Amino acid sequence: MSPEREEMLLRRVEREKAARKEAEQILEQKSLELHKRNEELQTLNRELEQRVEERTREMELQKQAFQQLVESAGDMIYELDGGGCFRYLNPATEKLLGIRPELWIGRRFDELISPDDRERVLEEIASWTRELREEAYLEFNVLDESQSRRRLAQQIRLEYVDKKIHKATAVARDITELYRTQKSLRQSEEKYRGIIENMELGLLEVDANGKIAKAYDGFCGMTGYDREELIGQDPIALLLHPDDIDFMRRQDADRIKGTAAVYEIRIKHKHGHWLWVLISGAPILDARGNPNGSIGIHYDISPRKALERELLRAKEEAETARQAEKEFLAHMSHEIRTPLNAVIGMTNLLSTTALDSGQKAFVNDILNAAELLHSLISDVLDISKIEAGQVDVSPEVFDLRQTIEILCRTLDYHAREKGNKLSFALSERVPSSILADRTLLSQVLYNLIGNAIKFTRNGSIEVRVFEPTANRDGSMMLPFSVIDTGIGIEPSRIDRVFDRFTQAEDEHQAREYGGTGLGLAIAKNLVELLGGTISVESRPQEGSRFTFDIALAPLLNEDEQSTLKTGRVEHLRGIRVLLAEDSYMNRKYVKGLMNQWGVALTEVEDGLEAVAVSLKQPFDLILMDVQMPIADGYEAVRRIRGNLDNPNARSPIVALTASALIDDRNKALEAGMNAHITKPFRPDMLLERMLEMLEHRVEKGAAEPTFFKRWQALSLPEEFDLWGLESLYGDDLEYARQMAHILVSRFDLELEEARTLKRNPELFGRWLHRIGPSLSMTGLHNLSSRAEHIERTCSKDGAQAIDIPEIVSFLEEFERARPLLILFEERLKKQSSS
Amino acid sequence: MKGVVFTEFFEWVEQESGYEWVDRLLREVPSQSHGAYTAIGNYPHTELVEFVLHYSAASARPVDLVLKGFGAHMLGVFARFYPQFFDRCPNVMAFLESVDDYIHIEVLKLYPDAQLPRFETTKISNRSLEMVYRSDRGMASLAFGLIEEALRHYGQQGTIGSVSFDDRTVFSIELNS
Repeated sequence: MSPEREEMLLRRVEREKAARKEAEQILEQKSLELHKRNEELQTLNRELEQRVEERTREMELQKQAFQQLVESAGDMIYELDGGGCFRYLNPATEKLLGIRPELWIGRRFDELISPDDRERVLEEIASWTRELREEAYLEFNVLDESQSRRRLAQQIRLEYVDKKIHKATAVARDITELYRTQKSLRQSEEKYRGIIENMELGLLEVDANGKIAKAYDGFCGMTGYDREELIGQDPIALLLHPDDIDFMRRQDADRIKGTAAVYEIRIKHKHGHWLWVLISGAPILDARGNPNGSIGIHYDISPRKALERELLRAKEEAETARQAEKEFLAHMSHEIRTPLNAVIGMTNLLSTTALDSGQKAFVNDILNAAELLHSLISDVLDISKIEAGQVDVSPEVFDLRQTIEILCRTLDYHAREKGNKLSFALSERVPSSILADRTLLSQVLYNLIGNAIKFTRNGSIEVRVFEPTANRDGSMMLPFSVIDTGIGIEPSRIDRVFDRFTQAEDEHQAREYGGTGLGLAIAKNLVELLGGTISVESRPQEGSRFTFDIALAPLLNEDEQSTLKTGRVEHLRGIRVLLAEDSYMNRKYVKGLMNQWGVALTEVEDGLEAVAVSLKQPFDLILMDVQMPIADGYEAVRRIRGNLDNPNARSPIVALTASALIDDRNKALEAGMNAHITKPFRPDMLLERMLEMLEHRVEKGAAEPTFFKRWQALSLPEEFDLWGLESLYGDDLEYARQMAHILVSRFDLELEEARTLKRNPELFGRWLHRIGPSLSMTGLHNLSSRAEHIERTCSKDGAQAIDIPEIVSFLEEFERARPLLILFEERLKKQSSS
Repeated sequence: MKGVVFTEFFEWVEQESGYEWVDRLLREVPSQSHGAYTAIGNYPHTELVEFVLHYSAASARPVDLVLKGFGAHMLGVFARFYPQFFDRCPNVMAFLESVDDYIHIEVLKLYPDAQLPRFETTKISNRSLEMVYRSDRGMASLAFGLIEEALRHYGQQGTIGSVSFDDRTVFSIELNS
C-alpha cells in the first residue's frame, strides 16, 4: 500500500471515528431527551388518569343527584322504549297511581290509559310520530291500581332514530283535582249561561278581531238569525243602527279601559225592523290578563221603549193641554172681566132708575153677585198667572216694618168693621231692610190677614215676624205668622184649606162668609214662589195660626252698596226724566235726588200735563204717579203708549204706586208701564229701578201694541181713548157698538134732562152718577173723568162748592160728544159688518 | 441540512469516483465538522453546495449532471430506507403526486426542523403531469434526477421536460404509451 493511500485510509478512519463519536454524542443526547420526554409523558398520563377518576366520581355524584331527583320527584317520570314499553318509572308513579314500577317495566304504556281515552291518545301519539315532533303535551285519563280514573298532564320528549321512535322520556302530573274543578267551573259557567239564556237575555261573544265567535239561543231568538248566520260576522256592520256606531265605539274604548257600563242601543232584526236593547259588555281576558274579545248581554227593551215613547207623548199632550188650560183660564178671566164691568156699570145705571122696592132688592142682588164674580175673576186671574209662570219674582231692598205697617193700616178699617183688633209685632232680630219681592210678600200677608178678618168677629188678628233662620246651605229664611181668634177650622177640613176653590167652612158658613176660595191657594202659591212653605194650625172655635217663611236673598253690606252706587250713578248723568206727581213733597224729594245724580228733570202735576209734555220732547225715563187728578197715571200711560207719534211711545215708564199688591203691579204693567216702585221709596230703590230700566231700555221697551191696531183701524178722532176701549171691550167691537147705540139713542133725552138740572148741583150730581158709567163705556175718557170729578165734588162738598160755569162747560163738552158717538157707532158698524 | 444528505453524497462520490475523491473534497473544502459527517447530525447547507461545486470543477463534470446523478442515487436511498412511501403508490404518477401531499408531511413528523422544497403537482391526464419545484436551494437538477430515477424505479418510461424561472422550475412529465 502506497503511503498516500495509507494516509488517506488513516484520515478516513479518523473521520469515521469522529463521525461515530459525534453520532454517539447525538444519540446520547437524543436518548436523554427521550428519557425526559418519557418522564413527562408518564407524569401527563398520571395526571390524566387522576382527572378521569375525578370526572368519573363527579359524574357518579351527579348521576346520583339526578337519580335522587327523579326518584323523589312529586311528578311521575318515566322512560319508554321504541315499542312504547316502560323502561323506567320513578317512585312517584307508585305514590300517585299505586302501581309498582318493577311490575310495570316492560309493559306497554297504553295499558295504563283508561280504555275510553285510549284510542284518542294513540291517535295523538301517531300524529306526533308522523310529524317527528320532539316534544309534546297531552292530557289524558289513566286507571290507577284501584281502577279509578285519574287525569294526567304529560310532557313528553321523543327521540328518533331513522324516523322511528327510539326512546321517550316523560314527566306527568296528576291533575285530577284541577280537572274536576275546571270541569265543575265549566259546568257552572254553562249553568249560569243557561240561566241567563232562560232569562230572555241574549248572549254574544266577540273575538279579538271583532267577529262573532259564539251566539247563544237567546240572542238568535231576539234577532231572528240562526247561529250559523251570525258566526264570523262583524256585529257592528250586521246589527248595529248607523246612528249608534260612534256611541258604541266610544263605549268599547271605555270598556278596554275597564269601565263597565250598561247602555241602550238599536239593533236590526233579521226581518229589518229595529230593536231597542239594553246591553252590558265585558272584556274576555286571556291568561295574561290581556283582552281577547268580549261578551255582551242583550236585553230586548223594545216594548219598554215603545211604552216610554207613548208615555212621553202622553205627558207632552197632557202638558200642552195643561198649558192651554192655563192660558185659556187667564185669557177667559180677562175676557170675562170686560163684559162683567159692563154688567156692573149697567146695573149701577139700572139702580138709579125709578124702581120699586122688590126691583131694588133684585138689582142689589145682581150687584152683589157681580162684585163677587168680579173678585173671583181677579183671583182666578192671579192664580192662573202664577201657575202659568207669568209672575216673576223681582226682589228689591225694602223696609219690612214699614211695609207691614202700611198693609195693616189699609186693612184696619175692615178689621174694625167686624170688631177686630189688628196688630203686628217684629222680632228685634228681624233686619230693618230685607231683599225680597215686596209685592208678592205683601200679597201673601194681605190674603192671610183678609182671610183672618173674614172668619173673626170681635176678636184679634196679629201678624208676627220672627228671627231669620239659617238653612243648611247657609241661606236665610224669614218666618211669619198670622194668628186670629176666629172660628177656626175643622180638623177634617184642615188638609184642604190651601186647595183651590176649597173653603174651610161648611156650606152654611160658605154662604155666610162668601169669598172665592182662592185666597189661601194664592197665598200658598206665592209663598212657594218666594222659596218658602206655608202651614196652618187651628182649633175650632178658638182660632187659626197660619205660618209661612220666605227665602231672603243675601244683602250686600253698606260699603259694597255705596261703591256700587257711586259707580253706577254715573250712568244717570245727563239723562232726561219726566216726573208726573201731584204731591208737592214727593216732587221736592225726587227733584233733590235727580239734582244729586245729575239728571235733567221735567216736573208735571197731573196726567194730562204729562201727556202734553211727552208729546213735545223725548225722555229717557218717565216716573208716573198712578193717582193724580184730571188724568191718572194709568190713563196718561195709555195715551202716551197709544199714540205712536208720541216721541215717548216707547220710553220706559216706572209707576209710582202707594200699595204693593199684585193687582196694582199688574194694572201698571197692563197699562203699558215697564216697572213699578212702591211709595215711599228710599233713594237706592229708585236708583236701582232707574238703572234697571236704562240697562234694559232696548229689549224691555214697551211691547208693540198689536191688539191696539183694531181700534186704530177705526180712525177715530183723538178724543177717543183707544187703550181704554181695548181694556173695556178687547176685540168685541159688536159689544162696543151696542153700548154706543144705547147712549146715542138716549142722548137727546139725557141732554135735555141735564140742561134742566144744570142749576141744581145736587140733582146734577145724581144725574152724573147715573150717566157716568155709561160715559166711561164710550172711550171718551176726558169726558168721563170730568164727569167723575164733578160728581165727586157734588157729593162730597155739597152743592155749595160746585161751580156752575164748570157744569155749563161740561154740558158743552157733553153735547159735542153726540156727533163723536154717532161716528163711533157708524165706524164700529162698518168694521163689524166688513 | 440533514447529515444523511452529506453522508449519501460522499457515498455516491465514492461509488462514482472512489474514496480518493471523497478524501480530496474533504481536504480541499473547509467545513465545520472537519469532514466528520454523521447521518443523524445537521450541517450547513452551503457546505454541500461547496462540495458539489468543487466536485464538478475538479472532475470537470457539469453541476447539473452532478446533481442529477446525486438525485438518482438519493431516490435509491429513499427507496431502501422508506419502502412504504413507494409501496403505497401503484405508479410513478401517484408517487410524484404524493411527494408534497404525503411524503413531506410524514418527513416533517420525523424531523420537524427539516427544510423541504415544495412540489406542486397538476395532473394533466393519466399519463401527463406537471410539477412545479420551489426551493431557495436552487437544486432543481437534483429534483430532475430524483424524478428520472422514480420513473425507472416504477419501470416506467417517459420524457421529462423542465423550464426554469427565477423562483421556480416547472417539470412536465409525459409517460410513454
